Amino acid sequence: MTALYRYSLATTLHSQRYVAPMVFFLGLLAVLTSGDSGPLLGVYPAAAGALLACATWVAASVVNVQEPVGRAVLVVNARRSRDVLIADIAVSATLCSGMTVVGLFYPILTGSHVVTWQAVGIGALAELTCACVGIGLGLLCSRLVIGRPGYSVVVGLGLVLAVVLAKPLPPVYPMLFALNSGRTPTELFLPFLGYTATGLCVLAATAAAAQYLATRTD
Amino acid sequence: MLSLEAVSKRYGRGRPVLIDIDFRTRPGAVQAVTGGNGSGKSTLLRVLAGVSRPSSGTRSGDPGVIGYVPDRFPANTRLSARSYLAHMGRIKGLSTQQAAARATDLLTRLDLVGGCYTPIRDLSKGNAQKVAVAQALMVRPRLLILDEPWSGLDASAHGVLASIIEELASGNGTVVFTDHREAVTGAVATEVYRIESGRLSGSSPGAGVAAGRSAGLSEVVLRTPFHDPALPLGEELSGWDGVQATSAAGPGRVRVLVLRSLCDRLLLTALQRGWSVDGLRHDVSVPSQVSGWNAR
Repeated sequence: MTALYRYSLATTLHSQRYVAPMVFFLGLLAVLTSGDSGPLLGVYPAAAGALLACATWVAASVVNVQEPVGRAVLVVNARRSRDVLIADIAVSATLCSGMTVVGLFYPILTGSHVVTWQAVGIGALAELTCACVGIGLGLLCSRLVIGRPGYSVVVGLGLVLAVVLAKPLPPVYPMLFALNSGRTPTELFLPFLGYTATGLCVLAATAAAAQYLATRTD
Repeated sequence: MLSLEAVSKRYGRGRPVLIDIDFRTRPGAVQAVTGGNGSGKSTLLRVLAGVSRPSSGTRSGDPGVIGYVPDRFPANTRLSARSYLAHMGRIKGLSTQQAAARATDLLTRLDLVGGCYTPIRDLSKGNAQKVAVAQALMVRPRLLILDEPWSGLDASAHGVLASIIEELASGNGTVVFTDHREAVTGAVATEVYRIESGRLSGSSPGAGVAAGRSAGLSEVVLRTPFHDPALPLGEELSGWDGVQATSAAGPGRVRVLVLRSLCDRLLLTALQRGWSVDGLRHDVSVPSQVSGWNAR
């Protein structure tokens, strides 16, 4: 698995396809959170929402770096297509972890907030949840499932908007709503652990679905 | 051993690409599949390699390590040939040092032009194809699957690939390949199948180099004028192309079992390096039946 991770990371870094979503993320973060002077929890919904969109883009880019024929060779050498997908998810998670760190501390450095570790912890849980859901959505609109790039972009945008705006759909909308509810970080801690667990479940479910659909259509 | 039973394949709602295919790999065989464009050759190999799932029918058996060379190798990667092969070697379980050494050996043997540190996307089609062949051989495969492997290769690489196929078959491995030229499949394969409109015909015997293991081996007795008794005599020879086994044959003499097709090359190389030829015999029995041999 380590060898697959190294290969996936190397091809992603060489392709430079991760650059565009990361620059987009920094741009969104700068526009939406710079100079804010309200409560720290109030700026994290914007950071988490930006991370959701960019994690979707990053995950699709990581999977799409491999052409179908190259992926076939990789699957034969690795002996299991599931392992190749897990390595792609791990690389996406690595890149999203970097964006999470930036998303947590950029608002603190550029705004004037009362900073508490509890608030930063809640922000971290929110961003990790959005990263998990975003990676899952990215897998669903990657080449594994959708062959045409144009359709992939449209489906990706649709899925991100649906997840952010659909009220009854956990965990993203209720989580972002809770950040602006005025509740203290201590009160939010347990619900946010639940949201993060749900985010991980969403990632596992979408990965299984992507793997199933990719195997069916190949 | 790997077998396909009543395998059919259809993409979406399109026409069936494979229809009721029964196919079985055999250890020591070089099996060729020939047919026109769009007849289903590549899809058959993809199913065999396990990268495509049959729509119906079963793929069963575990042949062990599989090497797969697709018909179109992705040539847009920015990784260098050596780096790519090192990654593939690690994925197949080699250590970093072993993978790097194996990559260098294979690229040297296949005579990669352009340098092993050149990004794959900057290589010519033929050289990218050599990288494709090399990745399949990073760990000696028990089943080597080649989809039109000669496409884009130069004449010298044709010979190297043929000798690689022969070595694998001689070592009880299986090689399955496709080519639309029946002259090529007939010359290299031991069994030739024809596929038309997704249906596979029964096999016909080929005149391939590996048609019989004993018929493909030659025994050469070599003598060196400057033998150091402290060194094992056959060690240098065991690394040469086509050498299957060596054994001592008296003071300063060594008996070498070599593939028939590479016998002339071995003789030429030996003479150029100062060895003398004391004996030569074609179509000898396999090394496992001869005591005292050091198999390669």
